[in-house]
Amino acid sequence: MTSPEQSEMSPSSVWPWVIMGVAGLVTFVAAMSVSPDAVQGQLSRIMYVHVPSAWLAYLAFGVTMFGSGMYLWKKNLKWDRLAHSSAEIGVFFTGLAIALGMIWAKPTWGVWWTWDARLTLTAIMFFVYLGYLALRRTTDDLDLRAKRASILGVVAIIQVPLVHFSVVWWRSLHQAPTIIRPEGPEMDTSMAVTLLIAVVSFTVMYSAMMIKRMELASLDDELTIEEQSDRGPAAGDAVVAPDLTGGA
Amino acid sequence: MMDPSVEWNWVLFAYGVTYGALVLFTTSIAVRITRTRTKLAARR
Repeated sequence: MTSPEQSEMSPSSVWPWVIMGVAGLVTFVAAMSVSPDAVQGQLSRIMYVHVPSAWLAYLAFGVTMFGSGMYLWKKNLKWDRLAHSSAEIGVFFTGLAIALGMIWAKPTWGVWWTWDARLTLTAIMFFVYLGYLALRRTTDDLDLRAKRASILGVVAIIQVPLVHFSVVWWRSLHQAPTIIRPEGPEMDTSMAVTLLIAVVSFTVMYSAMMIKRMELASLDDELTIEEQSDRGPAAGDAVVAPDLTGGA
Repeated sequence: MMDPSVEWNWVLFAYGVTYGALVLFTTSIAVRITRTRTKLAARR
């Protein structure tokens, strides 16, 4: 088993929190400054948090797959901590993207939810990665936990292209891609630039979150190892191993 | 098109959910870091 890098209780850095705050502020100012859309009016401003949240879900689950694959190859728990940290953040942003999509859907489509391919597949992806987090709680054995989670972390990535291309492959109420498409972007330049600023800011926020979440993962592993080293055999000295030699 | 003030209500609702959720999630990470550090410090 690979022990976590001993943090030796090094002081926790503050700057990732500052970066998260600044990134959030930049997104807010940019989204509130741009002109509204000609068709959707002010509602189009929801796009500047909905799309970056969905992008971070893809990115986070991609990093989870990378960390999982690296763990299965190298058997080093630092890769498992990377995968776990990214999966938790990915679940958060998937949930946020779904919630924001529902808030946008109600005034534009007239319903909070519909069983559209994009929405349904995103909900399935959310629950599969919640399952990934639940699977990690089934054992205290760090290596066994990492092995089980890594297999799911690699397999589950198939959902990301399914979710992304669902609006192309199936008839969908959700709008088709407007930025990354063969014919070029179908969006006003000022809106596209604002969306780019929001996506970059959210990506920076994700990086800062990962630094703190990995610090937590490392501390958690340290604590688990210390707790396990304190524990004696399950039955203490009360059970003596049977003599299996037949008295010979 | 909808009344702009109604549209703004939806926008503010969405941004309230976004930033509220971000604050809660980042706070949960900070609290768990502090709690785990406290437990480790108590063992050393």
